[in-house]
Amino acid sequence: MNAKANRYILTQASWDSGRLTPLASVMHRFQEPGQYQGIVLHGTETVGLFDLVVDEKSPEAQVNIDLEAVYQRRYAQTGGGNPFVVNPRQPTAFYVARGRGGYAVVVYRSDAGRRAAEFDSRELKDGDVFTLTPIRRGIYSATNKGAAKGEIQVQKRKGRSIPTQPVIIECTEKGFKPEKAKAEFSQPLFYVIKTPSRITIQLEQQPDDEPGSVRRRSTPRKKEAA
Amino acid sequence: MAFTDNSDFYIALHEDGINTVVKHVMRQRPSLFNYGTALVQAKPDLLCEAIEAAPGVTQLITVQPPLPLLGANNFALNYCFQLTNLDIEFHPGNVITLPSELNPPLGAQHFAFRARACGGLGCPSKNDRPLFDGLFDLDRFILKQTFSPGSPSRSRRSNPVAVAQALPFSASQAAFQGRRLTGSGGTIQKLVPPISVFPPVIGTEVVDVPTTHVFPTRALSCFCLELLATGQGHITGPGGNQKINIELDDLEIVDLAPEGLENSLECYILLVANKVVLEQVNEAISNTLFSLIQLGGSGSLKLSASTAVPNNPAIEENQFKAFINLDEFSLDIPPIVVEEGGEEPEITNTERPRSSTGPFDLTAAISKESFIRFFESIRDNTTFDITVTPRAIIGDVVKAGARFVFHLDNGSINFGANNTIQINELDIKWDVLQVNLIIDLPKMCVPPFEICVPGLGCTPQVCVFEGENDIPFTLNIPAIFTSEVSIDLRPKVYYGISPAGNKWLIQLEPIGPVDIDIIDISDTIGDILDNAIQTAIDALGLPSVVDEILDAIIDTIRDLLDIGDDVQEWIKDLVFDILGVELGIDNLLFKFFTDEFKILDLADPVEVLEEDAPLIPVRIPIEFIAAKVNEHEMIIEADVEK
Repeated sequence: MNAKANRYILTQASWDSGRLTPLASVMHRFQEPGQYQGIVLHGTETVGLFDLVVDEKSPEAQVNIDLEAVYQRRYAQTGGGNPFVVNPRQPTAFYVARGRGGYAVVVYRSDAGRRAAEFDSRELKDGDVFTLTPIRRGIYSATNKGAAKGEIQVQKRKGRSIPTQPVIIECTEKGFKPEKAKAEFSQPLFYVIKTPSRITIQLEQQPDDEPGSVRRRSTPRKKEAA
Repeated sequence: MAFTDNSDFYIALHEDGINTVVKHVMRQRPSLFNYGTALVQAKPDLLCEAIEAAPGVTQLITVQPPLPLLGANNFALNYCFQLTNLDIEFHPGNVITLPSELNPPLGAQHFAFRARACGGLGCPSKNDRPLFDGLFDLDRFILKQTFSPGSPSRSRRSNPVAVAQALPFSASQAAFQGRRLTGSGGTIQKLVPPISVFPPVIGTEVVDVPTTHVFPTRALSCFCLELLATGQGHITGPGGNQKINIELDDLEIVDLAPEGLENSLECYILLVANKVVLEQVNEAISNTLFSLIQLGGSGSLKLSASTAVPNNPAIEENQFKAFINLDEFSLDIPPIVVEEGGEEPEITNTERPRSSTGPFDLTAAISKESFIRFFESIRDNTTFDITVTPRAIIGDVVKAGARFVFHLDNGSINFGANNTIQINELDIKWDVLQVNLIIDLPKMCVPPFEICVPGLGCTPQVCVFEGENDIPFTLNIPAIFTSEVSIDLRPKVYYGISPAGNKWLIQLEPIGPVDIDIIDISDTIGDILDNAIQTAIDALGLPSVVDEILDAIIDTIRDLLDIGDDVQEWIKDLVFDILGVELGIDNLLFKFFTDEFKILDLADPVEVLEEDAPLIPVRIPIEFIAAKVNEHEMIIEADVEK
């Protein structure tokens, strides 16, 4: 058998916007054109570098940067490498496509050295977005910097229809709005950041019929169909 | 009336065919019919009748010792003996004219035999005899040189120089019998006569017998006689202990005088023919035909002559006919596995029309009942094995392969009047029914597609499976299919041309399509499919907590395979249509009947006597073979090439 399954996705039960893992991402809009350099951190260790160019003339499309891929490359994309190029009107999304992840990303303007970070995923700011697509059913708790608390209930998909709209939750000084949200399997949650935030989410309770639940038959019978 | 109305097998040899075969043997192995001394072999123009030999024949005669002179053992004559014409004729007999002594016309159930025998003797002519008188005198002188009692022991030996000088011809022309030794010098040849078989004259004295002198000759005195004989054949003894008895009734040497000489010779030859030659022939035929015949380790059969006919063998209608029963038959062959593929032999099958007219040289028949016995034995020992190599059946995402093993059972066989063999409702009993599927799962990502919010952005997708993901699973379908096949066959004769040698082939060929009827597939196939898919998914080792992902995988598999509500129909379509198993069964059955039921696979020409250097092999070319079937039997007819 030759099946490469991204197993970690299926067992994940907690997420942290400051330590990105699969199924979660942070989005930021770099509004000032120019050259930027990004550092990928795992804990305190730098594990990857990348170049980013914000160019008004570049296509109007979101750029997705896979931090795991950057880590796998393990060298700086300066002086001859291919930088990521994004339009200032479009967001740049940082995510982890596979593996265990646990990365943070900090982006500096190249000409400013590393004196001031333009973006630091360990503290999201107003205008940033944290997304999560939970696939395990159950009740999740959400916290913001350990203060604000919220709850998300992830349910089975209704029938075979796939949700096309995310659930949008605002992170404000007063907490999550709404505090309690419901989502279906593989329906994304968009946490829109309004106040400096670091969001953590934890699966607190699984449904009663897991594990060992009877899976439905894969093949209906003629009589059943009749 | 069928040939096999009173027996399982029938065979008839036409006299023309036998005579043609004899002519082939005479041309390719003339030494069986021509005998003579070494001088005649060295000088074949001495023969009484020239020998017409086939290309490649180097030995025309069988060398025999010279004919000794009675009373003078050390003198002999060259000679030759030849059988030049051999003919046999069966009742009613309209070719060989029998003399009155043999009471023509040829009696019912009798055969006639005609041969021309020539002989020649190398006796010195009247003019040459004085030249040999000295040789006789020298010989008598040598014989007289014995020792009287009391004399010192000495042996006398022939003085080769003296002998050679006594002859008008050089010593090399005289055929001395004895050993020649090269002297120590290597150049002098001493003649060492053979040791006498007679006891020593005195004590340890040895009297050496002088060498045999064969009179050289420039020509043989030849004569030819015509021999005619009649005879008949019977099968005697009870079943299980039968023997064939072919014997000559009477023999006539034409125009030999005086009568007493003729009668004596006829009596002598008749005795030799019946008690020596034919005795051995009858024994050989009986042992071959009526004892348990081993089929080279593959089984055995026991035959007996039918007693349900008035004459067996029957010598009539210019043919020698035999009616044989199959008493016992067992087939002990290793399992036959008929598979697809394999290297096709380099043979081009052609059809040859008959060029001769009149009756066939050979006619043979096998009864329908006997054919059915053979068929059932082979059927019961045969397994069919179909392996379908994995192939794409749905784009590049689903591949399927299979292995099916089945055997045949039951069924009815009938011979039709229209040259067909009908096999009806032959059960296909499935032993292994295995379908192997390989699903290349497409990407499964979360979320299934990008979800965007204007002004905020879009969620990147993360995939559970990406790239090539082959998920194999096997359906082991219990052998509960019930299938039947009906097929019509026709005997087909081909002349196969091949660099390895040509051959005549008689095989059974299906006519029209093979009709396979799938009767029933149990509805447990649905559970089997479920379990197979589940097993495959379990093999992925994915945590079961994410049922939706696993359900999505199952749904994907179902969608890819296009399994609808009717799983049984899906399996039937997949196995027999999409995977082409029905076509595979057709092909295997075709191969089964053409290969395993090859009625005849005969090299042409047929080798009847092996090579025995310098003797070339004797091969009989077959000009034509035909096969046909009627309601009672299968008939094979053949002609020998003239």
